[in-house]
Amino acid sequence: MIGAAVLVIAVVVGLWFDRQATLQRTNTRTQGVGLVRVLSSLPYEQLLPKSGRPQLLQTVLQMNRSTELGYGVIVDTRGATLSEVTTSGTLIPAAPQTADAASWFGERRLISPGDGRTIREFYGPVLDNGEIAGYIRLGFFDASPAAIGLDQLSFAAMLALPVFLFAALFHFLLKREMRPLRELGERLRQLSGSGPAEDNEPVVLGDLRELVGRFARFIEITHARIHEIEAQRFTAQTSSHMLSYRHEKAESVLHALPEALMVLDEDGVVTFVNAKLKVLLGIDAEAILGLEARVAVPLPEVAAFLARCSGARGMRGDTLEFSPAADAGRTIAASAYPLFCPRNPGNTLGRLVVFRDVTAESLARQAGAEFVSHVSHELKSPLNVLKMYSEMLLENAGDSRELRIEAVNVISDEVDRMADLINNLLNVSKIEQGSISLDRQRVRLRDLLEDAVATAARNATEKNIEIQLKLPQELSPVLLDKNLFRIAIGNLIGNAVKYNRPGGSVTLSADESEAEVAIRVRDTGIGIEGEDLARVFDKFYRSPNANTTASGHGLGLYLARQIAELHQGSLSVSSELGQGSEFTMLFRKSHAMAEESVRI
Amino acid sequence: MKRILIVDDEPHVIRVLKLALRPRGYEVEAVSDPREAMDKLKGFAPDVLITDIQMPGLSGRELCERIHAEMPQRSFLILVMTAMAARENREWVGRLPNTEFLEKPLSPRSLAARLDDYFAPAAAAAGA
Repeated sequence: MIGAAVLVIAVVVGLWFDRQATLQRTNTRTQGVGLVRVLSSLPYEQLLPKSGRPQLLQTVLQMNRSTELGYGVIVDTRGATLSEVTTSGTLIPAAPQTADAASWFGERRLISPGDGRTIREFYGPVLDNGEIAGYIRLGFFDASPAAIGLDQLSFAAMLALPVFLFAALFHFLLKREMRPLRELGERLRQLSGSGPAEDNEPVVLGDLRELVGRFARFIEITHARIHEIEAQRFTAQTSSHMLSYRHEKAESVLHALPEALMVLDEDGVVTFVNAKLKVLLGIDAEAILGLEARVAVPLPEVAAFLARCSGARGMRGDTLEFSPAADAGRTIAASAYPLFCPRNPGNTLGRLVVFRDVTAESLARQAGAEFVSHVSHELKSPLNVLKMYSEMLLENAGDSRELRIEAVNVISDEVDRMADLINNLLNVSKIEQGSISLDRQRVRLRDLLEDAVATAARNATEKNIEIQLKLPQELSPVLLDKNLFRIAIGNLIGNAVKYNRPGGSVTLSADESEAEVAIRVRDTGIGIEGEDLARVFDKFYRSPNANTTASGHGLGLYLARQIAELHQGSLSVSSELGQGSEFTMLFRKSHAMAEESVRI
Repeated sequence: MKRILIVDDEPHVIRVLKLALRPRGYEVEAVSDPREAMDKLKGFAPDVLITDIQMPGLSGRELCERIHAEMPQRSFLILVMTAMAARENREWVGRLPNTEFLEKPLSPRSLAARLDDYFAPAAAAAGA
């Protein structure tokens, strides 16, 4: 009977081992096929990030540490490795890949070139915009029976004990039930006087077979259940890893934002900061995470702001603009927004505080304000003079002919000055907005320069200033926007007249080299020195040293340089105090420009 | 004779104010560079100083604050010409003693009337 029990146990254990090995294979297949399908369905960029780091493969390999996943490799359609991740000591066996669409997904057995272990490899296609770009191959080591046994030894031991006890119990029960039969048999033997004692054995063996069959079915059901639980665990594990992958991705997006972010909980404790906080404010994440913002943040004005907006009152986008003490040239704007609970929008989860570098906006705003202030001053100054002289005309109209002439002249000049300013302003605004388009034409410079001199002549004669024009016999044509060029030259000659001395002269000359034409405006005025020389082309710059009777508005030279640069030319100045100044405008000649455009 | 000092970089303003005020019996002097105003004050003690705000080299505000710092006991009135009666100008003009606004565009006639009013009680007292 004991032999029978041992036999039962041996059969049970054998069946169990066999089942276990089958289960392991099924398990590996479920994982292999599942993983390959999941990875294969992912976008190409996620599988093969441009960074070259196979982060996703790495994650997959790590999360399967419990199984025998040995390597993950992405190959191109010719089999060359694009990206690979292996467990240590694993060599990836070479395997040809057929391009046949029917065999994109599959499973095969390979031998590991390192230790000769059997590998079950699952592969699937990698698609890039619907086109096959390669294959993903995942290799699992075939689990050895010993590994299974060792792994599950405790479970087997636990299983063996009840089986043994049950068999013993059954043996005794059977023996008790068999007793009447045996007595009957004995009596029959006594009656017949002889008979083989083995007659009752087939009955016992038949019952045993049924018992073993029931055990086998019981174990089968148990294993099916275990297998089901294993599959569920695997699915849960996969989705949990995918979730953490997505979480990491979302976090990396937050770190990549150009703004610095800080999340506070309801108590004002810092629960998240992104990497930009260090860049923008010089605050280390470790120094404030988990601490109360109003205490931990080292910048006093920011700490006060955070304290204010974490209170119950700070519900709507509060903002603060400040310059950090360490970098006073920068302006940073902080805005706080409440984070509403998605399921219950009535509740808030804390505050999101966004820090932005608004230095550029702030400077632009300041420049805009300065611009408005300059322009209004420049427009109101002539208006003031107009008002005063017109009132004088009204009051003293009959008194003096000289005063009347003076008033009319001043009024006329001031009206010209305003018109000039307004025209220049419009042109500057067009150039700065980029809305001006050059209307380049082939221009005869001689005509243009003669025109410019004629226009300036009246004003110059009044001031007893002579304008000379010195041109070579031949002047090549240039490609210019005639109207803009006229403004630039007009401003240069106008300045040369304005800042000249009575009896002085202005010389307009031109000369050319192989590729360039230079136009020079030289005056015999007071000259420009030092800082003025450097800033003479700045918008609205008027020298505090300049002859204050000249009515400039600080736009003429700025505009002239803008126009020269629009033509890919340049405008420069040289000056000698007391001797005068020379402005030089350089333009490339039309044929040089044509050659360049051909080369481009 | 009451003395007026004008500080303005705009020569036309100086010219018209001189034309308007001199016939009314005022002694008018002017500087067109605000940086020369402090020196001028040493030699010419005005009863009223009229200054522009926006000037190259030294702003009207800087000039007024310098005068206040160097001559805290000054008795003359300062009239600040401005078209921008903006808050920032109101603030500093209001802070300085004996300093008032003079609206631009400037009317020489109303300025003369204002000066006449300003000096009237003194003249009346002197005549009495």
